[in-house]
Amino acid sequence: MSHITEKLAEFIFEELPPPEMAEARRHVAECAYCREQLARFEQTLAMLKAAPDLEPPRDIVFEFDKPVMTRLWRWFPAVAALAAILLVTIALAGRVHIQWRDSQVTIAFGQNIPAVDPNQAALTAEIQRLQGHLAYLEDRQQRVESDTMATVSQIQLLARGQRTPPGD
Amino acid sequence: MKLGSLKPVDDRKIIERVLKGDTDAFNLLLRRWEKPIYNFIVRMIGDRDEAMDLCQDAFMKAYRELDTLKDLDRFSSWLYRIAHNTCFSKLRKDHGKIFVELQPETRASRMPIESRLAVETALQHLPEDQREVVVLKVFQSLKFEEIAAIQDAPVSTVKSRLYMAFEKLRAILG
Ligand SMILES: [Zn+2]
Repeated sequence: MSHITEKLAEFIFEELPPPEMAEARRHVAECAYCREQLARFEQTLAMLKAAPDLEPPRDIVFEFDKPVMTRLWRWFPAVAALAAILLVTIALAGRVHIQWRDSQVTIAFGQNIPAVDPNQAALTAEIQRLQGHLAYLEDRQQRVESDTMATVSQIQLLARGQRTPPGD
Repeated sequence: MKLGSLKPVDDRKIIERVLKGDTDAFNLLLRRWEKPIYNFIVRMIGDRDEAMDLCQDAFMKAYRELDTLKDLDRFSSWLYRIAHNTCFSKLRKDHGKIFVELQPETRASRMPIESRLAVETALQHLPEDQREVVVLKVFQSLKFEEIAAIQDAPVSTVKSRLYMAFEKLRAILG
C-alpha cells in the first residue's frame, strides 16, 4: 500500500470502510513517513480541542402565537365539568332549584321558583309593549317641542329685523 | 428552568409533533441543538453576542421552513445548512472585519482561556470555507459527507480544505 496521505483525515476520524481502516493501520505501523504525518495532524487537532465549547449566554425560547379562543377552549371542558359538579352538589344540598319550562332553564339559588301564571305572563308582555309605545311618544313629544322652540326664535329674529329702521 | 437535562428524544418524533401543530414542541429541538449551533456560529463569526442573535435567527428560519424539510432524519444537517447560510450572509455583510472578541471568563473556566483565545484567533485567520470545515469536523464531529452537503461541495474539496486549514493552523498555533 502507498502512503495514506490522501486518506489521512478519514483515517484519523475513522471514516474509512473497515477493511481500508485495517489496511491503513497496518501501513502506518510499518511506515515512519505516515506516522510523522499523522503525528503532526494529531498535534494540531489536540491544540484545537483544547478550546472547549461555550455555553450559550441565554436559552432561546419561542413563544408561539395561538388564537385566543383556542387557548380558552382548551380550558372549556374543565370549566364546564367543574360548573356541573358544583351545580349538582348544591342542588343535592337543596339550595338550588332548577326548572325546565318553555325551552328555558331557570336556576334559582336559595329559593323556590314560583310557578308562572299564564295570565300574568300575557299581562307582563302587554305592559312591556305599552312601555315601549310610551317611550316612543315621549321621544316624539320632545322633538316637536324643540322644533317649536326653533320656529319661535326664527319668528322673533324676523320681527326684530322688521322693527329696526334702515340706516340705524 | 433549564431544559437541557431533558432525555434526548428522537428529532423525527419531535418534528412530527411540530408539523401536526404542537408548535411548543419546537422548543425541545431548540434545547437539543442550541448549544452545538451556537458554538458553530461563534467559531465562524468570532463574536459571542452576534452569534447568539444569529443562532436565534437560524432557529427562527428553521421553524418557519420546517415543512420544507424532506428527510426528517436529516434534520441536523439541514439545521447546520441554515446556520451556514446565516453565517455566510453575515460574513459577506461584514466583509473585511475580523471579530476576535473574548471577554474575561469566570474563575471556573479560567484555565482554557489562553488556548481558547489562541484557537479562536487562529480560526479567524482562515478563509471562511476552510474555517467552516475545521469547525464542523473538529468541534461538531460531522461526517465529511455531511459537511460536503452543507458546503454544497464535493467531499474531496472538503478534505483538501481541511488539510490546507491544518497547515495554516499549525503555522499559527506552533
Ligand atoms: Zn506511508
